[in-house]
Amino acid sequence: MLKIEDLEVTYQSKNSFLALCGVSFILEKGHTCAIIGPSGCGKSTLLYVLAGLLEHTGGQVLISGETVRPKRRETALILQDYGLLPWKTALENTSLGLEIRGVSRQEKRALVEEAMKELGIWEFRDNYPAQLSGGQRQRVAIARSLTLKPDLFLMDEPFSSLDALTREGLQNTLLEFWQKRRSTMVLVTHNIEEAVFLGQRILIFSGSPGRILHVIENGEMGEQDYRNKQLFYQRCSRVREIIERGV
Amino acid sequence: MPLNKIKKTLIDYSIAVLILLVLWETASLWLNKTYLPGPYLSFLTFVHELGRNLGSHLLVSTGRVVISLVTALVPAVLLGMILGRVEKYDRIAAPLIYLTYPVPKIIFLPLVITLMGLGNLSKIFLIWIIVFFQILVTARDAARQVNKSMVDSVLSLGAGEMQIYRHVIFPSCLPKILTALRISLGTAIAVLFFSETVANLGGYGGIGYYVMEAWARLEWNVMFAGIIAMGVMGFVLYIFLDWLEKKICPWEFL
Repeated sequence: MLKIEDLEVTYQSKNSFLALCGVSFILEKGHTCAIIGPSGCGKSTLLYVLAGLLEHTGGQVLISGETVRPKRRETALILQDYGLLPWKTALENTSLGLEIRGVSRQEKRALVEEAMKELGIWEFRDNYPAQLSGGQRQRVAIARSLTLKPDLFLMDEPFSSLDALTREGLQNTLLEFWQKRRSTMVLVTHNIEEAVFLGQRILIFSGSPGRILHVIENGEMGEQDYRNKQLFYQRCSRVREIIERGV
Repeated sequence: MPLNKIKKTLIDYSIAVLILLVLWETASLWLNKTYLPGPYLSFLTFVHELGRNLGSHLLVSTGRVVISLVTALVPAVLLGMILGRVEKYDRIAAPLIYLTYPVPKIIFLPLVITLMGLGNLSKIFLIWIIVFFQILVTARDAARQVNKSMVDSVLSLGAGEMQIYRHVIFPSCLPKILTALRISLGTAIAVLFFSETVANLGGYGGIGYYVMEAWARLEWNVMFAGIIAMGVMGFVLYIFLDWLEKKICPWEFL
């Protein structure tokens, strides 16, 4: 699904700045991958490249065998904040992707209702984002990407501004979705438990320039009650150890 | 608005009107001169004159203000949003705007009258140019401040440039544009008054002309009827813009 080879990104501003260098990895279709690392390690940059919003300056990025390009219809991007438009109600925000794609009114209505009901936010459809809690807002953002039936989910710290319980609730929701649909998922996070809970593979990045420090296979992810298992804690400590050592 | 809130607002405004009327009456009684008639006589004349020719003057003036505001608003908003979003255009336009914006446009009155004559066109154009610049600068600055992640998130949904303007830039600038419009309304009316007193063709020259004529005839209560008419016009337009903002920007008033 994703094939990244020797990716390099340089920001061309006043003084050019190397954000990513020599990043290579493969993500098979239907698998998930969590990217974790210190702030400024270029993990968001990587996601922007995958979303086609930022051009890479070196290497190769293939999605389903094709070179990455802007506006790939089957890619969904979920950001930490600002993903929702304050002047649109939850319903209008959820419909936005379909509206931009010019889907007919009836089909739009049906898809939006289905996605919003699935995420338990249908009753808040007439609320503006300012009238929703942080968790509800991210549910709207997820519902919006679901309406587009994506095969690749890109998430940039989607739950980092939420309180611990809401965050766990949304992580569970996301896991259920993935188990049901098996979309390919790339999750950027700075939360170790989140990375271990949602990533079948965990890429640990190091900063300036960003590169992959370590790869941890986490095939047990998604098992019943994984969050409370001994193995889960072991994986978390291992990730923490590698990040702290930084080599 | 719920009914009891309307009631409360009405009471608040009634108190404010009462305070102003009491101040006016006191000043008038204290001065005791013909050139400052009391509110009772002034309002009586206002109602009476409205039925004669003040109504037509009021319509003329209101028409001039409304036409200038609307025709300035549309191009200023479009141009401002583009300048705020596309840096290379702004680099060309910014020095021009910075040099011309602080120049008080009323200074061009003689030139504008010479070019456009004493009729409607010169007055509308003077207001137009003032409002245009004010809205242009506001819309541009507002478009610059639009959050980049918000644009990215809509881009990632597959939006084209037009859809970015429609769904992100325009609604994001709208409240600031309406605020700027309300502020420039005051300037617009002041400029209108001035240009109507300086340049006119007689007939229905507008409130400015009406007030100056009454002054020349020393008909003080008629002059005050004109002042009231101008005040009412400003107030109604102001309230309308206020209402419009609540109507089309509901997310700002949650």
